[in-house]
Amino acid sequence: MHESGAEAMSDITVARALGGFSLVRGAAELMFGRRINVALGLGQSAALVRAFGAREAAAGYLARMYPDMAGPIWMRVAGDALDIAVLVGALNRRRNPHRDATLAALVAVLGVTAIDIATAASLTRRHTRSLATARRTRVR
Amino acid sequence: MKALCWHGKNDIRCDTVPDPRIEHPRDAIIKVTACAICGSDLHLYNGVIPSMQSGDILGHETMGEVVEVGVEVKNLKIGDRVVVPFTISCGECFFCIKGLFSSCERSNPNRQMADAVWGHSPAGLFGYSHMLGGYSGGQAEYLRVPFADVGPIKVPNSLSDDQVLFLSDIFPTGFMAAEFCNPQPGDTIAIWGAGPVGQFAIRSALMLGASRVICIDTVPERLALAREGGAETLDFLKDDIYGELTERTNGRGPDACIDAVGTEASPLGAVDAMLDRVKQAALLGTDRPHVLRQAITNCRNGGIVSIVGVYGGLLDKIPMGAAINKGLTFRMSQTPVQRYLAPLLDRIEKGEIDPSFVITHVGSLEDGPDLYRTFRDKEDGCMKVVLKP
Repeated sequence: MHESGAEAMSDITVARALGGFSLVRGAAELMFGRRINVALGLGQSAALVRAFGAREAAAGYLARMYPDMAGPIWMRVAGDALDIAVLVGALNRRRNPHRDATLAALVAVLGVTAIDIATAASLTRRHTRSLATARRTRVR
Repeated sequence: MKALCWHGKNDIRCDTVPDPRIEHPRDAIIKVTACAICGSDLHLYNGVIPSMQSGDILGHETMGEVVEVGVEVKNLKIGDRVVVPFTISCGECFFCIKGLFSSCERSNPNRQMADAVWGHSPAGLFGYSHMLGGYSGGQAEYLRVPFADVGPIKVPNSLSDDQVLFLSDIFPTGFMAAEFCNPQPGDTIAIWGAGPVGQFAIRSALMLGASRVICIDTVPERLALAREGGAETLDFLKDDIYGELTERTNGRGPDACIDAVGTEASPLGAVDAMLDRVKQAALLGTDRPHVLRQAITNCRNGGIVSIVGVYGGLLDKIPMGAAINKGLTFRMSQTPVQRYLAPLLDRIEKGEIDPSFVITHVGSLEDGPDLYRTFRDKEDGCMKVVLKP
């Protein structure tokens, strides 16, 4: 198998999976914003959690629609940064009764963020390579 | 062998797969010397054609050298250089005898799927979903050609691969689109889509006697190539298409309109086109028939609408009121390529047309996944990709 093809395959497959994950997570945040807010000790309004859910679902939809495009995954990375900021804030809140859950969520988000960054960077490289191939093979 | 395989939406890979072998006495195996990525392959790439399976080999514009023939194939011999039509046809059934090769009733082994969706199955096609036969395509090093005694045409060594490859699909398709319009001196034909099929439709319409061709697109290099081919051009993002077409035809509208775009019309430039995109994205619609609506609306009374852009499902908000009240004639088909091979090869040999004018990129099979993307995104001036295994 051609190496670049294999790499693109894994990126696209991961992007599609990340998109599916986003859709599920976004839907959960939209439906259960209040419960998630309490369970993770976020100390935010349920509306904010739902807004995050809407953002997550949008990124997921775009990643499913355009799985070879880096944009939706970079959108997820931006969302991850917001998630991390909120979770770090919650972790630093002195009267957080669910500190363990907050920490677990933070670790999970950090892990997913690493996958997001690797996938987005790889899809970006893939586009660059496609353009280079096009320029190399252009005859007119 | 190496082959370009479909693995899901936007996911095409150059895989190593088993070599094809003779499965029927009427089969032949060809060593592919050139194959092309077709605009309709992008419908597969974009995941809008159902019944694809991971690992399916793509490609239906193929030519090569015969390396093996079944015992019943008497018209080909090893070493012959052939172009393979994208339609697979038995040559003996009710439809093939009438010359309607793309309706062959014997070449689609999965015809019950197509019967269920479309009422009656058309012919099987190379590399174009299991609903249309599940045949391996020709973006590969080797291709099994069923009914090889009917489909492939031998081509002379005096013509290069680039000159004859497009006999497999886009030249006959563009020619048929123009032929459907029955061009007469004085006629004006409007063609939506300046992609490869649109480009061949332009040149064919003029070859067949149309006086004027007006081509509608928005990609600058495609519009430039349309002008080189003798067409006037309109940019659907800048020009008022209805106003311009009406004004340029003494207020009547074009005598015939060709839809060389099909199911994935651009969502830009018109509200209905954008709504089509939203509906398709929300799984509320199968096709984006904005161009067909425009063709119907713009065509003159009693005119002809010629449809060669591919549609797959149920089209929404087609202005049938306009079509009926204006007395339009609709003509459409997958191209019965076998019917056009000899006459169009003759035109190429006579120098009436050199089909290689559309080629912008030539790469290897390994370049295929990258070039699919480039072609889809219309980047780097990409008009037509040829792959040479």
